[in-house]
Amino acid sequence: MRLHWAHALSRRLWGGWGPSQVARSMSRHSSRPAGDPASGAPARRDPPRDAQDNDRGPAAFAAALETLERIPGRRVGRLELVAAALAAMPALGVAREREAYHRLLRLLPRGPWVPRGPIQRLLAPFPQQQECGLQILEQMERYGVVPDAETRFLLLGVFGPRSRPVRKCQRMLYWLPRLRHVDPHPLPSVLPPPGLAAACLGLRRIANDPDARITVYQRPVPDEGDNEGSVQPYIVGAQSPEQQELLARHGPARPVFVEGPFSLWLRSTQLWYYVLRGDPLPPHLREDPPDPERSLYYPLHLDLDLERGPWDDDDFDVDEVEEGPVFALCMAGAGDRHTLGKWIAGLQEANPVLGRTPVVFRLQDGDPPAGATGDPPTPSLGEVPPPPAVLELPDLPRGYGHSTRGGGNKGSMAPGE
Amino acid sequence: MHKLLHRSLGPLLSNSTSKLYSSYRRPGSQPEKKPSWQNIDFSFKKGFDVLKTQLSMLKKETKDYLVGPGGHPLDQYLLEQTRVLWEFRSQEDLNKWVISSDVEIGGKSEVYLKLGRNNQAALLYGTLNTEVPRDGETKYSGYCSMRAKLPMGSFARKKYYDWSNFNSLYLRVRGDGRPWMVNIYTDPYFSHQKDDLYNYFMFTRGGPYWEEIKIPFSKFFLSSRGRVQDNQHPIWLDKICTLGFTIGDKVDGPFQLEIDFIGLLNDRAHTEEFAYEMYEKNPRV
Repeated sequence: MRLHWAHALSRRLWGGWGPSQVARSMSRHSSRPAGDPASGAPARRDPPRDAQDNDRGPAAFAAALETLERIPGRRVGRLELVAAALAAMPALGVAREREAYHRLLRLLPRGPWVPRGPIQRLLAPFPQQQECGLQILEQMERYGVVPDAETRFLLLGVFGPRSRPVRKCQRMLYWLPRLRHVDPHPLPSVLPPPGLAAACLGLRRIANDPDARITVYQRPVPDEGDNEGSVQPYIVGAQSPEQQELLARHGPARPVFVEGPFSLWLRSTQLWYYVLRGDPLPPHLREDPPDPERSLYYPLHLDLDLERGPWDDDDFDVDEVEEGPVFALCMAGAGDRHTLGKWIAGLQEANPVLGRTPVVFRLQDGDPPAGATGDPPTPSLGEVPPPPAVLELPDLPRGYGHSTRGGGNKGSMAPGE
Repeated sequence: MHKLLHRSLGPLLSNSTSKLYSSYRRPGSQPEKKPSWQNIDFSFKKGFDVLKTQLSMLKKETKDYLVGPGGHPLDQYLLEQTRVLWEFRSQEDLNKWVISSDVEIGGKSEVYLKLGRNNQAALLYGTLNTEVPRDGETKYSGYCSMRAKLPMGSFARKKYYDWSNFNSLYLRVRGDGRPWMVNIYTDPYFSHQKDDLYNYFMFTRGGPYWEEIKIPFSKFFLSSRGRVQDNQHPIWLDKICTLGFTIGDKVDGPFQLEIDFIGLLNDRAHTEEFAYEMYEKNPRV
């Protein structure tokens, strides 16, 4: 596997023009990522190419291998070819297709690598060939491709029963379907492209409340997925009725904070969200004030202690983490204060108290645009902005002077602005 | 004479023992030239300090032993349904943990651990980078992990956690939507089991809310050197050495995980003994 296969292939090791043409065309793609070609590790970073060019894409891969399968004669250089094809698969965009791996297995000769008799089977027969089969299976495992009965059938024909690739295939057949659905918050198998749809999906996921209403405050003006060169970024927000109540109880006297951006990963897509939150209320304001008209003899709600004994104590003996309540969530195509101000203005329709509340923007420096998938400029250390003292009751938003903006002008902003 | 003896016996002695108990060695790196005893500090002052701390540990252990099992009175020990193992409220709590990343195999990930806002939780953050080190052997890279230090009794005696009264692990975390793996290491009886780990997954939802994650111990499966084993068995809960978290989801980019506390729970609604089949799963066709 170590030999530089591109050289090996261009020397036409197997004769005939077909294979070497194919290999040369594949080598152009797969020698591009750094690192050794057998690893296939930089695969996730390259997005699968579109099949715009005839040389690329799953169709090219299938056509190339089909040509190879038809060529009669001695099958030499198959292992190198399979290694090259495995390395080229992520770049060609077929690394997640089971049929592509079946094609590779069909390239291997059926029969000559099957050990004859128990003695040969005992002596680790055909180590390089079996290693090649294992590499195919390992790449399938890496990309989450579950083998099926046909894979096992092909492996049985090539390597024979009880061989290492067949054993590995059986292992994968047991474990991969079993661990496929262990995620309690599953995502759809095909994620929407980054943009408004992905933001809605992400908000629905992090809102963690079926009652939460997802509102699109502003649609992107070029109605495309990416926000490059867009005139008007999208703004989506989520708020549940409970959060509206909390915000109303928070009152206009204490400031609320717009914090962010915090990162959220949907599989390999990174999104950024913003939070509208307040400082924790003082304890006497957290509960509803007791009704002065309540009857002590006929209480309207029953508070029974249903524990049967000391063994029923299921609470953990830890201090609660004191954090302020979250009032609303937002994802926007741009993370500047102007865009988020529009979100706050849109929130005022449902929460009139927000018009009289001072809003403090605590945005981190160098905040990246939301929806940017690959390269965030700074690793956002999300939940820890520099101002540490949050637990003190916020009589005055001092200490945030550089980012403080009084709420008065916010409140005067028209909601539809 | 000594040199000659070392040259003839050296590979036999040092390599066999170091191969048994040493950890990973990077491909291409030179073997350790210095014998292991030269790394030990034999100073008197250090010995005195160590003796002092060890004696105080021994005193505490004796006191705990007189009180009851695990330092709790017997009735409390018998009735407890929950136990907090690790909580993160101060720097001392963070010192009980070790972080590591693929830098030790030549990768480029970064990981940091610090206290969160208001010293209320541990924040594990960093950047995952799946770039493979170019040493010609390594094929995959990109992981970061955090692991509790091994429990030690006084005078460097081995100690284990005994979690057999409980059946679930309980975590209060806040992640960013990336999946993690929870690893439990039990004390191996034979040295060839020293790479065995019990693993399960922890999926975070992401977002600003804390989430409580309950992982039954029956779900943990056995793996060795990153490969799931064919012969599975339930985890031995009375010889637990450490617990760790690993991220390695092959996605480049920043990650973060906030952990409030890690506890144990006796979930009486959970009756499963073991989630995987115990018969021969990979039959010799």
